[in-house]
Amino acid sequence: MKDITISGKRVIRELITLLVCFVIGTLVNLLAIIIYKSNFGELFSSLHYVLVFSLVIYMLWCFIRLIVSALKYMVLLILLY
Amino acid sequence: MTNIDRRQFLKSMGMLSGGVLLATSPWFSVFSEQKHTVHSKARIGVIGPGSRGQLLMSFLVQHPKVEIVAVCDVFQPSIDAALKMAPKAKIYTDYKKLLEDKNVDAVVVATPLHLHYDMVMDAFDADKHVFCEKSIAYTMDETLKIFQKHKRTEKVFFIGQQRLFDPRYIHAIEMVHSGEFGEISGIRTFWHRNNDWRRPVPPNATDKQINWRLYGDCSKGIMTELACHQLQIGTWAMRQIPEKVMGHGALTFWKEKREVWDNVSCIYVFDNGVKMNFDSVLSNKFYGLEEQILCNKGTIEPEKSKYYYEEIPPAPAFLQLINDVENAVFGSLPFAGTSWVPEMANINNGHYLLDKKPESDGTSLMLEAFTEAVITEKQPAMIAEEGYYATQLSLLGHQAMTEERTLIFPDSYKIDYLNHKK
Repeated sequence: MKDITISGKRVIRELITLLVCFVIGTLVNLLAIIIYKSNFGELFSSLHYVLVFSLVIYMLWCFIRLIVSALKYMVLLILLY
Repeated sequence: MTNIDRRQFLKSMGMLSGGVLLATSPWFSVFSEQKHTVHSKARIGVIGPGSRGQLLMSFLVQHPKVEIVAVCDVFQPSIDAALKMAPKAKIYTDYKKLLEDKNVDAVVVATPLHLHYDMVMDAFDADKHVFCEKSIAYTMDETLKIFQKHKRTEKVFFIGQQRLFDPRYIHAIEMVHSGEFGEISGIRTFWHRNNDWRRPVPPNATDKQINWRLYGDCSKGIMTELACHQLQIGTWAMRQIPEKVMGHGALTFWKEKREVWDNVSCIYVFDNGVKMNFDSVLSNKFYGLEEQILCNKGTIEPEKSKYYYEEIPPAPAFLQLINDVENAVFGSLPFAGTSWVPEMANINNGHYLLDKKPESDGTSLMLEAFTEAVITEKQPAMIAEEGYYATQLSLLGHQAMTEERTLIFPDSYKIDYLNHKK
């Protein structure tokens, strides 16, 4: 079985991706607070919901990337054969 | 309960200050002189050490300021059980002989209801302080006479209304009186069980000796055995005595060898129209017992040790957004199942009255208070009056059910207390 190496660059890229997901989650939280005229303290008190949301969209983004990679690979196989 | 335990008790109740406690429960002033009574003892005689009497004794024997010097009963197994707890106590089979005993400062009367009147009246005549298990007496007239004798003799008089010393109830009533929940709109009390109240009769006893609660000439049944506790909570919360009562009682399930009802319902009406209900069925225990104090800003359930505000804060905005988006996307689809968004965010789970469950239902503290009162010979405020009206209201309710008509609280039984004037 081939060894898989995860480079430092890759790790940093994924962490940045996760951070972007967290920022998106926080912006969604802020939007919700404005729309529903709630307390701005919820930026902190709803942090646990934002973290879960961030993880969910990160996983979703990973899934999309996986599908795109799989499709690319299938197209390549078809073209070659 | 030692001095340290009592401090812990008050602390555990989250009392802001002694002043707040005394405003709601002024009978706690009985503990104010406890440091002066450290080396004193109350010599107590127990009349009727049956099941309840033995429970009271189990607390009394643990108290360093109590010496049980005498017990009286006509039922030998009760005496045997009492002697196990207080082996040095003198035995009497005639309570009048016990009352002649100069070594007795106070008596605990824990006999069947119909025996209370003679025993308590004779005890006051014999210059004894009295702790009488609830209800005070079998009739309203007897109850009034006992109260009047207590006042005339100036002897200490406690009635077995232990919720007056139960931390859950004290805290609940404090919150009610502070206006935290606004105005009381109604009080719903209920005490449901699923048993016939019948106890096994030992070979050397009669059914009436053991199951006196089921006999109409010994007890008024549910009203005098259960309702009196809960009606007392209502008047304590309202700081008023209700003016009229109506109700209905019947035997609907446990119909054999029983003279008292197993299904009762009463409505007590206060001057301002607020009502206090009491319901009890003895053939269903699903809802158990509770006193629900319904106010315009909240509800308190002291038995569960919980309170609830009417207005609960909405779910966080984030959850509301997710929920609305999800409903918009999946709401119309036939296969969409239960949303993962926690809709329970809108369920009112309430708050607990106390940080932890109290160890006692108030009985041990009540007996401590009685002991202090006997030693100092000072009657704490409101104790006798609360017990008096608890009994009178339960008896009046029973009468209303018997006569099947609305009864106004008779002027002749009013005493100077709360909204009543003698």
